[in-house]
Amino acid sequence: MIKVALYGMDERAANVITMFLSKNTQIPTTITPQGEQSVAIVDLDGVNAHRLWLDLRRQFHGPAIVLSVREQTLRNAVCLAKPFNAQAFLTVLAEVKEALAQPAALPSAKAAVPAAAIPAEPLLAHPPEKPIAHTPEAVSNQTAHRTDAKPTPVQPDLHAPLASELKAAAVKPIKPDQPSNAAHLISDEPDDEGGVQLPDEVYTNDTRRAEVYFNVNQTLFGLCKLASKQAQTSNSVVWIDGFIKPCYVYPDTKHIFTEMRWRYLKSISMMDLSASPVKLSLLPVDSIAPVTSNDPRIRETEGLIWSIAAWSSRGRVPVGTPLDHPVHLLHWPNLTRLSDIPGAMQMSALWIKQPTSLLETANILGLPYRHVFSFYVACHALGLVHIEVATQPAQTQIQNNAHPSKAAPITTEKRGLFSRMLSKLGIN
Amino acid sequence: MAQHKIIFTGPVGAGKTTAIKSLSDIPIITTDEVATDMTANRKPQTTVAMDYGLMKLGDGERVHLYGTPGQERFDFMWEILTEGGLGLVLMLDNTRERPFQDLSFYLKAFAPFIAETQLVVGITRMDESKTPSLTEYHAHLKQQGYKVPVFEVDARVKKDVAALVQALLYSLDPGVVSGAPA
Repeated sequence: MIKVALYGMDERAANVITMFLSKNTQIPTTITPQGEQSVAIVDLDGVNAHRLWLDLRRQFHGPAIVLSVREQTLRNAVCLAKPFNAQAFLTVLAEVKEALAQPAALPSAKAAVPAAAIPAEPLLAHPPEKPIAHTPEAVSNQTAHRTDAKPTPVQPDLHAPLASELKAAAVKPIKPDQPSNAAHLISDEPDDEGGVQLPDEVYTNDTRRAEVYFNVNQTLFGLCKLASKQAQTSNSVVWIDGFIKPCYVYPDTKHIFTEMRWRYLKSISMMDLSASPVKLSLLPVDSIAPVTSNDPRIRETEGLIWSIAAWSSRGRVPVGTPLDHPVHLLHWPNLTRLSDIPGAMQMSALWIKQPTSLLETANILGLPYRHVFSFYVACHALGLVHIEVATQPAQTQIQNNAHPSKAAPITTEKRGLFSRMLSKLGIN
Repeated sequence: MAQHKIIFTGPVGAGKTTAIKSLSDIPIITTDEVATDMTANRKPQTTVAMDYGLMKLGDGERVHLYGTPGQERFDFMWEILTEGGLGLVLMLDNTRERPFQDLSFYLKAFAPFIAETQLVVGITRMDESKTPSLTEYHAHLKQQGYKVPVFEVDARVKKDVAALVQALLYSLDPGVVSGAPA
């Protein structure tokens, strides 16, 4: 007997589903109160549908059947496109039942019914064929044409990495004059400034160690990283859609176009995007003019990725990062043009002078662990660091500076002078 | 009371005088003269002896900021200027024809001083010329055995120039803490 709870439905719709399930004898089901279900059936066409979805996913990670007029591709869910008939519903129920019996076969991010409505590669929306822009400004101004544009085939070899690396959902292109549902979600989110810091205990207590890791692929950082890689490898403009405003990642020019403000970007960076309706699309490179504008909406990829990586990190590091092996800094980041991370200069100097583990870095420099971890992730995003897993602990490393200084060791007197100079320069 | 100094060097027009002006607590003393040689192509006046500025730390403690003349024919002064210095700030103009040649020249000229202290590199006018990139500068420095801070800077902006000096200090002592007692 499958325990089913209904979400996002009005009384009438709920009654219809309940009646259908009660009459159905092929796959025994029972309606349970919300929270007690083994399968959720969710109507995603309501006003607050995406809020509902995210709230549900915070509490329930089991399989879901999603009912929607739009093609939805959501993790661990099967989409049943409206209007649907009894047979289609039963097919989906059977699939979910099988998934419950074999957890490893839980529904993947793939639409199921009706088959004719399923795009070949649901994670890649079809981009418009006609050129959408010739200047960065026009990128946003001409988006009204997109819904009428014919789709352009996407190179198939690009699909696999997108599908495997990006666990995001695909929806039909959103009309540019309407904020997406995800945008509403962002607007509803409280300002996370200062509210997401991990306490130092997490870093020092082995039993809580898992909390210092995060899955890059579920963050905006992972999304941008993937988009940037796609832009470079496909020589296409990658369109990230599903947020309050679209975002375009350009190949070669090392620029990203977005109208999203920093505050929004920061909020999004701090969110888990695994259940959000974000998609990537490839736009033909010849449809977009090279970026030459001084438009403030054009951001340098390096600076934007640095910030997004640090925000997404929230004091954590990607899963699998060794915490007790020396971090090698390949060269100093351009700290005058990158967002400030407290202690960035000290950490750069230390890691150049003597590769040191993340945990030791915080101890040696007296910095909060979260700053060390965020700085590591930001540097990692730009390819500036690597951790040599096979090396000895950091304390045994010799000086790594290729041009070792013959300078005398720093005396207490000099350290006092340097300290006063830093104070004079405005470092508090 | 101990006196300390930081040396600013680099080719003509790289922003040494302006950088010192950004940090100095006193009106800087400069020895600019009307340029009569090829320097005139880049700026009408140039430093012929040195620039001088001062950072006052309180209790009479001072850090002298010296700028070397950009032209190579004044290089006999450089050894005198660097004596007892805390470190070297090398300013390079990214619009010059051969920035790497400039870099190599100053690395060689100040090699003994850099070996005893530290070096930081500020690249100016990158808004006018994006190349060489900072990555290329790092690669060039690495070839010559240096892993030092290289920042894009605007010499007119105090924050940028202060960042160079901060990086210099942290390179000398990563463990230094701002405002800590001696």
